[in-house]
Amino acid sequence: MQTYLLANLQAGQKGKIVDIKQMSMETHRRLLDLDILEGSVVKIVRKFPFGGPVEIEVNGQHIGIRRQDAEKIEVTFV
Amino acid sequence: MNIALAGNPNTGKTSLFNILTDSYEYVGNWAGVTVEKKMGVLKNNLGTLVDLPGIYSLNPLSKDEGVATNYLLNEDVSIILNIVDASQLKRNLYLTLQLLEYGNPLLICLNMVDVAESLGLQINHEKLAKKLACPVIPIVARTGEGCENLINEIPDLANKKTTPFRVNYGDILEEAIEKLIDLLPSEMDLPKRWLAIQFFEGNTPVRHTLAKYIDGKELDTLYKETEAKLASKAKSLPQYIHLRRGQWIEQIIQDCVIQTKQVEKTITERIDQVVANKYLGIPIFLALMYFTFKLTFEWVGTPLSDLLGEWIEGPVSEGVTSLLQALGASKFMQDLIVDGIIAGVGGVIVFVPQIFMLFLLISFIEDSGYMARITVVMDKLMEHVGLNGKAFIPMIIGFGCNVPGIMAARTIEQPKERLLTIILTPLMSCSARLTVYALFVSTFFKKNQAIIILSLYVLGIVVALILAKIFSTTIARHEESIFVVELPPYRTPQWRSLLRSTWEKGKGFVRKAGTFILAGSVLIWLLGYMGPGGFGVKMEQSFLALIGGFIGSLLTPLGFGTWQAGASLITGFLAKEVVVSTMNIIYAVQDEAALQGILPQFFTPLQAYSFMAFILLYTPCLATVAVIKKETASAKWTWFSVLYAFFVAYLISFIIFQGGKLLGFH
Repeated sequence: MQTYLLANLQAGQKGKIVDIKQMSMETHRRLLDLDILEGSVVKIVRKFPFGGPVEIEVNGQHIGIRRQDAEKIEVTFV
Repeated sequence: MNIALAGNPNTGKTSLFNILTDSYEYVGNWAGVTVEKKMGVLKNNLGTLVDLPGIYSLNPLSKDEGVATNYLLNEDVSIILNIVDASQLKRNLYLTLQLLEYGNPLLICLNMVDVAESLGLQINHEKLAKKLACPVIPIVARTGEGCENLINEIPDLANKKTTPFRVNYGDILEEAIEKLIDLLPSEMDLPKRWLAIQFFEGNTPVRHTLAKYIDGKELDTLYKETEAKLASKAKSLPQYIHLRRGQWIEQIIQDCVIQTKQVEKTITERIDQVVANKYLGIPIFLALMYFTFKLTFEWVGTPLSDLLGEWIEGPVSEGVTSLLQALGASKFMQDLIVDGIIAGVGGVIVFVPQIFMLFLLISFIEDSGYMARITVVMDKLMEHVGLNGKAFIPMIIGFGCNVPGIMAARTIEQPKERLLTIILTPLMSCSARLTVYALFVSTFFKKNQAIIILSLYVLGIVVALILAKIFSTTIARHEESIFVVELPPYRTPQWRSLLRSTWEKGKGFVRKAGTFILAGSVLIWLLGYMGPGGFGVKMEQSFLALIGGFIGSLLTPLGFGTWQAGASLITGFLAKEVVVSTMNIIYAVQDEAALQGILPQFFTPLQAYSFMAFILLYTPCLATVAVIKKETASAKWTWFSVLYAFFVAYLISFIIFQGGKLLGFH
């Protein structure tokens, strides 16, 4: 199945996480704390300009993460 | 009996703490309000209640999380009140499960059931209690609903013996857990199964504990072998454990929660479409700050201050004078009280309305949920200078007072970013400095008060950002950074809690007026009363003029080389409001209005602006220096903060004054 980087999805689009790569240990841990991992369905709420953070919605919670981190998350379209 | 409050960040632990102990601690609507444990006496004298910073798991990442985990694991805790956000049940239960495995008597406070209901979630708490084998009480901590039931439950629980809860982690991991438990000595304080699970989850403090009993290599081998055996099921052991727990929690949720309706678009999303808009976000933030200053200085705060000033200068001052005369007090006593204390303390008290107005607005921002949005809107800018969007929270709190601002930096996970935030937060213009601006703008910039003051706040931020860039590329270099921020739903702040938190923040200011500023005023007056020539000398021949004159001579290039300015800057180190007290005493006036009449003889508008910039940037006050020392635990960085601030202040004021002169200002 075709995969995309979460950072490349448009606002309003949803993806299911298939892989999280080479992210800093701490950031990865924090995502796990928030119950974001392979299998989670993530919706892009908005992307801030100039390569700023991405606001995502997972399980009804809204979370801001950096664009660089969103580029390490691979998803498939839902 | 010690009872600890534990739960995920921003689930209302402190709100519950305040209700259960009849006290008032600081609450807000973002993750990381509480960064230090707080103790209070539980209602009905049931024991001591300890409020802890929020945690997601028992494996800490940041300093505030470390405070919570250490307390839970190392102190004598009889009962844990685990507060759980009903609207985010799944994510919250991960911590609950770890606490159950640890085995302390647990009481689950199912908070925000009202929010959950509005999202269409119905939770069967009785069923949940049965599944988790511990009591579950639904509450709404913000209003106090259900909290009585909670208190009634505590005495029963205290006498109950509990056994650690067991979740099956599958044959492979269970086998490894058993193996590890066998390696541990039979006598141990901590529950062994819990230790083993935490070890496989990657908990570093737990690994250190285990290494005392088991060879490090053996631990590593066991970990790697187990991870390899489970490689087909999950990428890593921590992830595997998380998945197993997730399945177990999912099952419970299916049994206990019914989704009655789907909510389409929440109010929060609608608000965020505007305030967190990609392009409008930053302009809206700046407009909001401008509005805050308008309210504080032009619309509400200043008019009230003027009334208070007139009252102090007139009835209070005259009343006290005639009272002292009637009592037959000596001329010395009369002068000390009227020219020293009333002038010094009164000069600061008149700013109470402005300061409370500012605190009210900051409390509103904290309570509403906007704080977390600011961190996201600002993150890119902050990243450019080597900081993190989260550093904006300490900075905004720092506008009220730098001391809690610096404490708030504890939520920043990356140590270097945290250090930078701590040493730069003092550049945020606090409410004490505001007294100086309020005095000077109302004298020199009557027409543009809000904009001139806003320019000083912006100057503080800009200088902080430039220094962050310089420091982060030289003395505090770092690479990896963490920025993962929860954006909580907006709430309408309740008037009661807003007034409460405004008062809690503002009372420190009033208290300072009665202690520091009172003592400072007496001292300054005495120094101005005595001189090498004896007592009762002219102010110009006093010790105060002598010391101030020396400092003043250094400040001539900045435009305020008078002994009066020099003297007030020294005393400003005690607390920045004392600058105003000192000026009132030096210029022998009782209140703001009279001082406004006199100041133009000593300052031009350009000099006044240069002076305000200096006050903004120079050496932080005594209390701030103390908290920097405590938070950095380093004498070197504390000295650094004190010194760089002075040099930067000198440089900027020099540029403002000399540059301003060249441009033809005066």
